[in-house]
Formats: sequence, C-alpha cells, structure tokens
Amino acid sequence: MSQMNPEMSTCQSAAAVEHEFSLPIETPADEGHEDRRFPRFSFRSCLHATVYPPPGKPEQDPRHCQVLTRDLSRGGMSLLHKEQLFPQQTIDVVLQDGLVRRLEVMWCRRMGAGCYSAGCRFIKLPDAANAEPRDEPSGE
Amino acid sequence: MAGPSLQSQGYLPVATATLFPATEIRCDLYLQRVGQAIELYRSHQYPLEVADLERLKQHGIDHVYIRTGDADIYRQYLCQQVLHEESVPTEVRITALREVTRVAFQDAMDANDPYQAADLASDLGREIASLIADQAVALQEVFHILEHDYYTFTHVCNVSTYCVMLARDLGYSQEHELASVATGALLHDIGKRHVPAEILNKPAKPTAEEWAIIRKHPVSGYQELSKRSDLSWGQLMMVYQHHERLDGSGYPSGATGDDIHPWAKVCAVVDVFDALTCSRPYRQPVPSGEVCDYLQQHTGTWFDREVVACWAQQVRNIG
Repeated sequence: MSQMNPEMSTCQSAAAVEHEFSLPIETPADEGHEDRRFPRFSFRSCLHATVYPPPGKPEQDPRHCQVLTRDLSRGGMSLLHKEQLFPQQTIDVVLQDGLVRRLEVMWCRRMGAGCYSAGCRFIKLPDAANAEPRDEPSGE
Repeated sequence: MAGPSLQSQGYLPVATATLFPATEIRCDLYLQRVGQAIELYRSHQYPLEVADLERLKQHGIDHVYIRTGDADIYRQYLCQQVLHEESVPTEVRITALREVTRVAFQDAMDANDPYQAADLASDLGREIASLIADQAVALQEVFHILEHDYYTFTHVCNVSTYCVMLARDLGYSQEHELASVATGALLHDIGKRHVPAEILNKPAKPTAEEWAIIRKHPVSGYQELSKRSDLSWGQLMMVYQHHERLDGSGYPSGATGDDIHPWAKVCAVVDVFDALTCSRPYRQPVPSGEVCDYLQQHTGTWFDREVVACWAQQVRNIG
C-alpha cells in the first residue's frame, strides 16, 4: 500500500483553512512548465475543491475533496492533490471568503507517494456557478 | 527512405514492394539516382512491367517517389489493389498497410490537422488490427518487413503494428479492442508535429534545450486530442503516458505503477523497442536481442514485467 504524503494527510484532516502569504518565491527549475507572467507568492492553504473529470473521461463523477495550495499569482495557483491530474482538467476551489474560483490544470508532476503537484491557471467561471453547483458531485 | 529535403520539395517515397506489374497506379513515378536530382521515371499512363521491377531490384532501389499531391491516388491504389486483395501475400499486404499509413499521416501532418490525423488513425487502426489479428502473423515475419529508419511516420506505423501483436498475446482478443490499441499507437507521437523537424532529424543527440522541447510532445498531443469524444481514455493515455516509467522517472507527470494506464505500458515497451532497433543518423540500429536484454534489465523499474516478458518471448524468435 502506498504511503500518504504527510503534508497531504495534514491537509485532509485540517478543519480550519489556513492562509500564509510571504514574499514572491523563485520558480523551481523542475516546475518551469509555463511562462510566468505574474509574480508568484507562497500561499499555503487547505481548500475545499471539486475536481471535475479530465477531458476524455466524461463518465467519471466530479469529486469533492480538499487540496493543499502551494503558491498563488494573478494568473493561477499551484496545488497538491493525492491523485494524478491531467492538462485541461478543471477544478473549482472555494476560497476563504466563500467565492468559487475555477482552475484549469496546465501541468502535473508527482511529488511522492499519493501526492501530485499541479500548476493551474484561473479560468472564467460562469456567474451562475457561484450561486449553484455546476454539477452534483459524488463524495470522495 | 527519403530525408526531409525531398519531402519538402513535394515528393513522397513509396516502396517498390507495393508496385505490381501491369497494375494501374494512376500517378507519375520519380526516381533519384545517387548524387543526382530527382527525375521522372515512369509517367502514369505507362504501367510497370516485370522487367522494370526486376531492374529496380537489381540496382538496389527499394523506393521510388510520387508527388505529394498524388498521395490520395496512391493510397486508393494500395487499398484497392493490394490491401484488400486476398491473393496478395500477407507480407506484401503488411508492407502496403505500412505505406498507406505513412503516406496518409504525412498528408495529414502536412495539412496541419490533428483531427484529420485522428480520423485516419481510426480507419487505419481497424485495418492494422484486422490484418494482424486475422492472419495470426508472428513478429518474426513482421520485423523483417517493417522499415527501420527512424522517421515519425515509419515509427508510428511500426509501433502500432507491434502494439497490436503484443496486445493480442497479452490476451486482448476482441478485434475492436485491438483496433483501439492500434489507433492509440498511431496517434501516440502526434504531439511531435510541434517539434521542429530540424530537432527531430538532427544528426546528433539533442541538446538539453532541444530535449526540453521534445519532452513536451506527450502533453501537446494529449491536449489536441482530449476533447474528441470518439477516442477512449486508454487511447489518450497512450498519447500522454507512453514516456512514463513505473518508478516515476518518466515524463510528463512522473506517474508510477497503477497510475499508468495498461495500454500506455504496452506502448512504452514497443516504442523503446522500435526506437532502438531503428537506425539514426548518429548511430547504427541495435540488434533486437540486445534491445530485449535492455528491456528486461529495466523490468519492474521502468517497464511492466508481464508486458516485457510477453514481448521478449516474441523477440527471441526474430533471429
């Protein structure tokens, strides 16, 4: 059985959402998958998320889970998830103020057992989606 | 096999093995002698005779050329006169199928249309699965027919043929499953259309910067095809994950073990097999037995044990 990354375990058991901002951080060489248009800030937080199925796998149900964020910029954020994510997959995250932001996965890289890091960009969310869920997700 | 220069001039190589005496191809044939410019060899209104084909063979000429604009005519000739003609020996039909695949893909890529390529792959995947599965062809027979120059279109055709043979031996018995595997394999390198030809055909090992560009091809291929509803998840994973390795040392995600789709594991093994048994401008082809040893050395760390064992069993008979 694969061992869960401790950072993820902590994230999933966390009841409260914690935020941490700091100075812009450097781009790790192994994650330079995209051009950086905006400075990134360390942003450690555990957010409720709905992970929608990747394109090409529409039969899979959306999943409710928590994701651990790593950093944030005007263009997007990177996060940790226990499962592999795929380019163009969408994720809705609920921010502290209750607002839903939609993300599109740009790249994904395995960090350790049961832990994948994904770089995501913000994409436009239909206005209605903030009022009601896009789909009825299954629990995870 | 022609290099990119002739192709950029609008000529496609076609194997003389697919030309039959007295059959009407309906397109002009061209020839390039060593050190000379390409010239008209036979106008379309004059069918080839047995003596012509004998002469080509005596001079060691295994390819003539057609104009790129005649690709469709040549493809129709192959399908009607060779591929579906049961009196034609299996090895010639496989050669014809390889030619159809290569010419069709060249055409689709020149048109810069991944959707056209996906449609073609679906048709050709069915043909490959049908031919390989129906005839119970062994790798021993196929290996000597396939070309071993590393060009993308030759490579995808080889990988597709190998994937069907391997999947069949791993227990995929339904023809529609084999056709799906064949289609996925035909598409596995579609992202390479974004890699500049001068990098792909460079007569030396790529630099670190060039590798970085090459390594993007699984993602760009997946992104182009992922919205197509007629492609299965397994096929998409053949595109996205064929460079992943069991221990996480692959790319693009570094996925491990069960996170790698079984079809991608199949594709990974034959992709490496074909890449190493093909000649490159900077190295000789590696003998199939040595490639097999290499695959077995990395069993369990890079490649799936069962897949390699099954493939090795077939490879040992090539001789």
